[in-house]
Amino acid sequence: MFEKQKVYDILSEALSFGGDFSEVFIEHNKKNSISFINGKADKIVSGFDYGLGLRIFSGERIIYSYTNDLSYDHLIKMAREASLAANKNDGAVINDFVERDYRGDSNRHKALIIPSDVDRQVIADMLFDASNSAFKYSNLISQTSMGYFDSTQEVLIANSRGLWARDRRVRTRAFVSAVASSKTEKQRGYLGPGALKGLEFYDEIDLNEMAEEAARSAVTMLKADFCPGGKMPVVIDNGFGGVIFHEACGHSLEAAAVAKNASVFRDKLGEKIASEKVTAIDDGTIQNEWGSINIDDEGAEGRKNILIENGILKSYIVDQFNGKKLGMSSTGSSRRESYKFAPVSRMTNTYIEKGEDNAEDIISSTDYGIYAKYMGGGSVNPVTGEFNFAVNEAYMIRNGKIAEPVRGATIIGKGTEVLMNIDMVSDNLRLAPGMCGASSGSVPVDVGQPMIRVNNITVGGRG
Amino acid sequence: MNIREFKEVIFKEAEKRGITDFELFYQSNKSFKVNVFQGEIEKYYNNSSGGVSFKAIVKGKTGYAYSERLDSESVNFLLESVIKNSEIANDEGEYIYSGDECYPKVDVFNKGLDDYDSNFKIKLCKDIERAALSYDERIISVKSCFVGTDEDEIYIANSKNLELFQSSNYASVYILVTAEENNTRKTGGEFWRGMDFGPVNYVKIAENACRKALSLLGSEPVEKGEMNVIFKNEAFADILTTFMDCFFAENCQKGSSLLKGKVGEKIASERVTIKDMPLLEGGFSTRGFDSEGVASYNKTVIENGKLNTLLYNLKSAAKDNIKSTGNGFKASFKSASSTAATNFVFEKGEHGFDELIYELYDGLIITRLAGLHSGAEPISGNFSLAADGFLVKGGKVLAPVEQITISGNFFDVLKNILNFSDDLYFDMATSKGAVICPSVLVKNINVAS
Repeated sequence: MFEKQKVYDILSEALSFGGDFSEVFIEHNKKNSISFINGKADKIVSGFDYGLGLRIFSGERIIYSYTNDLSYDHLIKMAREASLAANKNDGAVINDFVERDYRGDSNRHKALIIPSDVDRQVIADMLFDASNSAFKYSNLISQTSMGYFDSTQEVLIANSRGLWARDRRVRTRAFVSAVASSKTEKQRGYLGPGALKGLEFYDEIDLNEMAEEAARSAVTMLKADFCPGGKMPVVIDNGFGGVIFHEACGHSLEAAAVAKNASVFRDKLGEKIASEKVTAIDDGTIQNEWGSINIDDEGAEGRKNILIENGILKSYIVDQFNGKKLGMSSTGSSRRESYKFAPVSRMTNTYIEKGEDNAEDIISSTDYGIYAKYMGGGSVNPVTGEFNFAVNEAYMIRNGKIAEPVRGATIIGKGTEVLMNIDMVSDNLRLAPGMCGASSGSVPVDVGQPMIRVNNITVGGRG
Repeated sequence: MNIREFKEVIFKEAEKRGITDFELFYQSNKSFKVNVFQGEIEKYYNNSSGGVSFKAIVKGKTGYAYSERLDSESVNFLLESVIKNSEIANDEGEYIYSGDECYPKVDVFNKGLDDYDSNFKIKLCKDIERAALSYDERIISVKSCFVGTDEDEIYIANSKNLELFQSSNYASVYILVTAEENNTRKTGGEFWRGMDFGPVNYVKIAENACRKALSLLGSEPVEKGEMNVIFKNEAFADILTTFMDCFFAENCQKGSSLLKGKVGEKIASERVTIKDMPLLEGGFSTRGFDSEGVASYNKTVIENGKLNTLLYNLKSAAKDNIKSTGNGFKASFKSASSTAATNFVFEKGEHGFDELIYELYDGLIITRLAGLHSGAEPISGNFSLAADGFLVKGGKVLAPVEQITISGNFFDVLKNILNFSDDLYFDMATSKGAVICPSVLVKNINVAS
């Protein structure tokens, strides 16, 4: 991808007027996306992302420049201009490169079938079939939308401390969505499976079954009444339910927020911040999982980090730069969407560890509340800890039994409160893929949990 | 290769391979941004990037591909990809546009913006942060404060000899502050955008952010139930942006908009008039042509409550057998053409915001919404969102409220608009368009806490 001497020159030029660290991130990324609406091809796009991001640390300052003109002269000029923004000369030296390569045998997340080698017709047929499966499920299904996405990202990360790391990340994801309609209403069901692997993924999952499940969810919600609002117990099912931890707590544990005193969990290490039933983990090493990594986007190997153990805060999610400010070392979780973003501490696969309760007992011990089967996305303000997320498929719980479906539920709360209010955690842990957006762009993450109960939380609804 | 050279090469190569209908779309961006934290530069960005997308109609079917690299290898990649992609595409009667007779001139580029050097922008950023930190002792930190400039170029060339070029630039400023009192924290943000730093009032920008954060401290509980609310202009802009998709003809054709078949019908309160105004001077989405090369013009979308037109691109217009409204836009060169509004203007009312509060008398003012990407369903119009705001009793603002949700339906909201004020807010441009709207009083919104 690049000659060592040229990269050396750029790293060196970037430190010519000061700065204590320089880094280049070079990316080649081939992507394909195919979408089908109502069983017909809608948008088919192939693309090639290509560029270089240069990062310099100068004390408390980050200097970042990116370009997709990768000619030597342009890069040297860009590096020199970037260096002018450094504020002091720390006499940094460039160490000799030590090569690390995660594209071959040391790739923990091997891809067997590289997407660009596959005939597009195979994927088109798969989406067409999935659309049919959704339509066949019920005549209330009025629209289907099926999507496919792959990316094969090759990166070189090299820095002034001698890092020379190359990695290949092959990801694929599908989206199945079905809309159920009555005369006046429309409701959508949705699933989005994905993995850090090649097209062998589609041999392991059944997209038709998933399309039927999306259709079932849409039809169920079409017939549902509005969810009642107010404070009540909420049982959140496994898998994507873990978005509650991601929003309520995960973002506030990111070192960038902690270092700037913009997190409610600052200065809380070693303190109890959650119910003792809660153990939470961020694990970038799970083989071929959507949110996994070989190395993060500044070259540190992915790790399994225990964030909360039996309610006690054990660790933040730390990148190099903010780690230095906090006096902590990297947890292998500095990530970026592409060369267009300076990397920062982000989550990988983040989940609540399985507990000792039984899912059936959780429902049967709840007199009145909401059972949230499928969660939608959410967001959080890390400064205040206030979060919100949507429930895509919900049911009332009455007298210890799952009762009628309800729609339009939103759950809101404060991270510091909700973690304390988790009073039951079952043993059926499952992970689910999603995209997480923050200052370093949109990155693939998993959320996850076993079924849990929050004994008191605000539900927004209009029933 | 520069873009003109690249065009020559790929056009020749396409013809050599027997492709006759094709279009090249090029977009580039140069951006500068500086973030300041505690009086020091925290982040300093200086970027340039660009790329091309190529669209070709092969045997009646359209193929798309893009690349960020302008060289001969990319020419090959683009041509191979468009052919392969066209093979599985659907014959939708897409075509390459031969252009309009004349294109309106829009004032979207300020040569003078380049005269502001990085030192000016760094100083401005430091001044804004300092103004915020000295505004009130309860402002404990500035979470984010940046000053930036952006310069964009768009170039379209196709096999029907259409060739269009447009450059634009703008300056932007943003600050997000944290206020704290009695262990409660609230944030407040203010965004500014313009074509020149000349009119920037940095003290006002800082103060507005601080006031928003401070005003939310010390909240009171609110009783749940159905009530009348004022959506402050910023919050209402978020609602309009979220549900914008329903005005796009392509969504009606695909069955994902409830406005299908509603043109000519009353869909909103009689007072409501909404225009799509690409030629608006000073708009954040002002432009002379869309991503498909169709000349821009202003149009009324809702007139006195009646749906006047949907927004069309070339493909959706051909399906309905009408002319494109010039709303065929791409989120970036990387995506295929879709639909977007430009400056989406909800016409303002006659009275001030205070009079609107008096008209509300009892209810809530919603100043900020969260969770719009998940708690709002564009297809059904249903929303259930976390909100910040104020309790209003007897025509007076009583206290802030927190940890509440508001629920309703966008199509009901349009019909339930009682009044609106004259405080037009220019929201940031998104890939769906740039909303301009006043604060709006709406009846019957469900509130839970």
